[in-house]
Amino acid sequence: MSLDHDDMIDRLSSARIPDNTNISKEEKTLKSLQEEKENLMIEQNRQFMEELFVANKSQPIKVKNVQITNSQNFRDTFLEAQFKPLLASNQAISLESFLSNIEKVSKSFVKLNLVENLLVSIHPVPGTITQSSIFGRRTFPDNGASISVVPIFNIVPVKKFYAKTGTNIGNGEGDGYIQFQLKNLFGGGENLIFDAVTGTKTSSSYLLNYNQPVGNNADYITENTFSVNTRKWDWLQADVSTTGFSNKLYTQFDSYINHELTMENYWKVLENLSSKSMDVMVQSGSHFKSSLIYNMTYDSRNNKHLPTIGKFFRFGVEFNGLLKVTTSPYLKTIFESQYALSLPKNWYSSLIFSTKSGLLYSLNKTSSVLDRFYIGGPNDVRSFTLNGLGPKDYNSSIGGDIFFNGGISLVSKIPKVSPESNFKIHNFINFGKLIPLDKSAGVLNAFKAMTTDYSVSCGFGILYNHPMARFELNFVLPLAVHERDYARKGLQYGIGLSFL
Amino acid sequence: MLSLHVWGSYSQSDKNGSDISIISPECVASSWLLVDRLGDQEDVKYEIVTSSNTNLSDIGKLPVLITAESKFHGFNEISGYLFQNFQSSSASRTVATAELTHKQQLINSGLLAHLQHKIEYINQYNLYINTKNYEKYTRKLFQHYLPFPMMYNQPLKFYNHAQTQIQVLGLNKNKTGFFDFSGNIQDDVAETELVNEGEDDEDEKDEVALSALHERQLLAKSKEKSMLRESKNSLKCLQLLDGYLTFFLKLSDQSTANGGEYGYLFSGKGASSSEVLLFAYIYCLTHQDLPDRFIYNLLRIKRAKFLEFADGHSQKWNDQLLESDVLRAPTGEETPGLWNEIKYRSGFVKY
Amino acid sequence: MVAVPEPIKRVFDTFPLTTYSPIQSTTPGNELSIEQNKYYFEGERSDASFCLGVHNVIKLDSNDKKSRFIPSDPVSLGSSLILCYKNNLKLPTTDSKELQHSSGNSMLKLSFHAAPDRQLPIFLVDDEKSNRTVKTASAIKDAFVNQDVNKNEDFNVEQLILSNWIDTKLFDLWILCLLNEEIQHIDKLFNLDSELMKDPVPSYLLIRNLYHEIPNWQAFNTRNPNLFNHDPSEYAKNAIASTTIATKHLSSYYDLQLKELENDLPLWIEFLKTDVLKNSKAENILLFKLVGFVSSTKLQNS
Repeated sequence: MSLDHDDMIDRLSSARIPDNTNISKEEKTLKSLQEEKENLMIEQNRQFMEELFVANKSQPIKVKNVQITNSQNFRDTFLEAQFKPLLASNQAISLESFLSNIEKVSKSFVKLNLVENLLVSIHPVPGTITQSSIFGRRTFPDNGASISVVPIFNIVPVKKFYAKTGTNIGNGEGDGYIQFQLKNLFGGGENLIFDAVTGTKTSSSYLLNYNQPVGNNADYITENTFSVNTRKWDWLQADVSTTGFSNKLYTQFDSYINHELTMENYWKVLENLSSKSMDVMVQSGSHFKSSLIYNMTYDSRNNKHLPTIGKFFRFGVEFNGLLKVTTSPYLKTIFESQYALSLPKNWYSSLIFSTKSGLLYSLNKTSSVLDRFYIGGPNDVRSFTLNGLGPKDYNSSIGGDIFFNGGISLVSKIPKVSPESNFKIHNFINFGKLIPLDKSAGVLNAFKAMTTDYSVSCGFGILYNHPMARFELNFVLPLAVHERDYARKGLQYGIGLSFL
Repeated sequence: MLSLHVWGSYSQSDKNGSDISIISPECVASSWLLVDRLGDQEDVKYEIVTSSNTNLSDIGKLPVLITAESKFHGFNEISGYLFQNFQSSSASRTVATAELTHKQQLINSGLLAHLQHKIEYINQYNLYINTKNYEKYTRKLFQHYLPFPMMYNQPLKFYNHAQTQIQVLGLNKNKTGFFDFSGNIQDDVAETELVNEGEDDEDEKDEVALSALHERQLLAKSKEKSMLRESKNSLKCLQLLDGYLTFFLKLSDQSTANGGEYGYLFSGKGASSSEVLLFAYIYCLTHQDLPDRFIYNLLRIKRAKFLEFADGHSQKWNDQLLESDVLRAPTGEETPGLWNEIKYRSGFVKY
Repeated sequence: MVAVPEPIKRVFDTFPLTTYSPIQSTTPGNELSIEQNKYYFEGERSDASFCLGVHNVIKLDSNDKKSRFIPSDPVSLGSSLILCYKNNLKLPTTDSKELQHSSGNSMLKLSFHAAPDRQLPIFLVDDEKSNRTVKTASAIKDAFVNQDVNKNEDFNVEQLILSNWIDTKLFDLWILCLLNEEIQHIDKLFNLDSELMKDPVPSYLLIRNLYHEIPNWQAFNTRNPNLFNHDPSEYAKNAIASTTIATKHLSSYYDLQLKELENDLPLWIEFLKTDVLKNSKAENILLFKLVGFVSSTKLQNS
């Protein structure tokens, strides 16, 4: 019996469930007995089914046809492609492969976000089964002849149209947003999303996103985005407005390895607000970017925000300069890794090792501040302000061309709190260094400079792992800093999807 | 027939109810110049139309003088035309630009720019941003100028213009709204005539006190703050105005004919076009109907001679206007009504 | 405020335990990319230096084999001349980069996006301790000519009026000219990348971006709301169709202002002939301001 799962909520809202405390001891016992019985029945049922499947693993099955409810939502060609694994051969197949095919088909509906609910029921075709059992369970013929079945996919499709508007108001800031989503637009998993945000922090942002599976295959998705936005780059004391297209092709295989190929064409305008840096001033104005990016990821982690076990690698390479109008052509590579491991079970702790590194090689005299790397911040090298590490010019963080940072985090359960709780204790050490690349001195020299003198910080705090994001409140202290790094001591608050 | 179209209102029954609006000193100055130059010219017929219709002008701004042959826009062009084509009479208190020396003409041109690019925004502050004047006077004016439903939008539009324009001089707006997040220059939405009519004192009562005491304290504080800001702005405005007027006072000092008193800048004979406009601005800034006459009070104490001289002229010209009886209300397509606006926008009527 | 107990403060102060020297902020390549936009005035060197940010420079050929560089727009041209006059400098030439001539003071080609108020010229002053102050276009104007008539020792009241006439009337005319005339060398005037201008999409974006900003310069559209609020769709349509965005109101106003200039210009010429020969500081500055506008517009035509 697992009440543990709701442990946190129980504690937070114990006052709201008074009937738990008011019932008598006998009633309590009765209740728990009832639950125990229920669970026992479910368990028995599951065991029985499992045994059945194992025993009949090689039972030949023939799929007569496939049925789907609410099929008017989908194109015929699309459905045909989805059901291909089931209908591919007229030959009888084993029960095992039949079930895996069912699984495959269901997964592709789920992967494309086409269904709210999906339930598969399998109906035997009358006449092929001997009706010997009153329960209809032991109905498979013993002579090895195949059974003809019809799998029926009962689906509740997603809502085709969805719109959301709202406002966010915080301390001295506020914004409003509106979002439209047209899902499954042409009955083949095509989605159209429009987003508009305007407010004090993001002065304006519009996004139009169209995505669809390639060749009706849920493993390959193409995504085309047109966006217009203006963002504040506080560390540069400047605004950056971006207008342009991004065309992406990515895979969503069930295996650990996935690929992503992106072409970006952007017009960016750097608008200086109050920076006195020559780099920012001279580079203010229009920039045109036209680049091709390839990313490969390997991800075996059990949770993206707070893994307790698994590995993650990402390797990315970018070439900017596809079109002649590119203002600052460059080559960029990024390598990221994360390794999580659980400590012995009764310690209720796990260790996470992460590193990130990147190299930007400008094909011009110098790289643009818009393309450079920026590190530091509550999600990155903690105990430094956002993008507060690396080269500075008149108090502006102007970014660098080579960086390497990383950290070790120890995540453990809070004493006297259930190990299932989403609140954890967090201890960490972070390090990082970001430098500009002097091409006249050579890349090797730059790598040499990267071997010593890292900014290092440590700290501890509480983290809360929400399904959507991770929240951290840490007490941080810088151990080693460079003279112009923006370090901070004391409390630091972080929220985000990926942390160092 | 010369028709001068200006901002203002016309009342058939009550002669004193007719008015050329102080929201446009250029309109006032043009009207004065018209009666001054044409007052006793029997052969030239002229009229002043209180049309308040900016569509009549090719530059979207009144005054505009329409003759049989062409249109003249703005005070500079109108004064140029009037001076060139009509000789001064004995009663005239003005002197044509051509009668000045070349250097004086240049200074005259500079003074016109000085008035239109600096003192203009003091007038905008006085009429729109000074809360008392705007809410108790200026906003209500438009009811007389424009027919329903045009009078709702126009004061708001002018209010918004004034709000950004005063920032050119380094003055700030007086009010900050509840949702005015610091650091951003945002358009402050003015209360419209409809919402705020007679509600000026009920502001606090209307607020829902969420966590009573704290909320009320905050409100009181913000009210106090905006009052402080307003007086600070008014002081700065007076300081600026005094600086701008110093130009005229210094020029007058240089002119030997005046003997220490304030007098005509260029020629003892009369006022140049820049002086006519200056008197119009002073008339508008110190108008007797304004609820908050802080500018009048300053000038009366600090620049009494100057104010007296300016007032003398505006009094004379205003009397002349009243006597000549040339004002009339707009008719037909001249009226700034909704129907005409639609016709204008859709191209059915061209002015 | 609660005072932090002394021991805790002491522990806090020991962090960070190690401090390294700062990370270098620039590279030779980066320096070079900044330097190639700089044009040094000729004159004596001092510890403090300034830098005048301008749209672009134009090379002027002259008899003594040295070419001189002047800013491409009128306000910057006037400003650079006044700076030269006030600081005893000479305009940048083709050999200014050599050390013996260079004063350390320079003109710098920038985008108008570099200025906090999106308009050039912008004035960067580094003092002896290399503290940098940034002055915007309107601050430069006030620094050249003190607007307080009682405190300005160089300008008498008439000169001040004329100086303001140039700053308002001629400046507005310059903006009106940009908005009404089809300017042929717009790329040279505002240093739009010639490579990008060959391509229709970037050139469209750059020009639209520029024309979007021009009416804001010195609050032109704020001061003349009647010229812009008439019909925004017309304004946008024109901005897309060509480089000029004149609407009926704008073009009428442009004509009006041109007529006034026609009237005033002979007066100026006469004034300059008789008065400026006296060669006072104020009159020289007036002259430079005026020259900025007149010669810039002449250069646009050639």
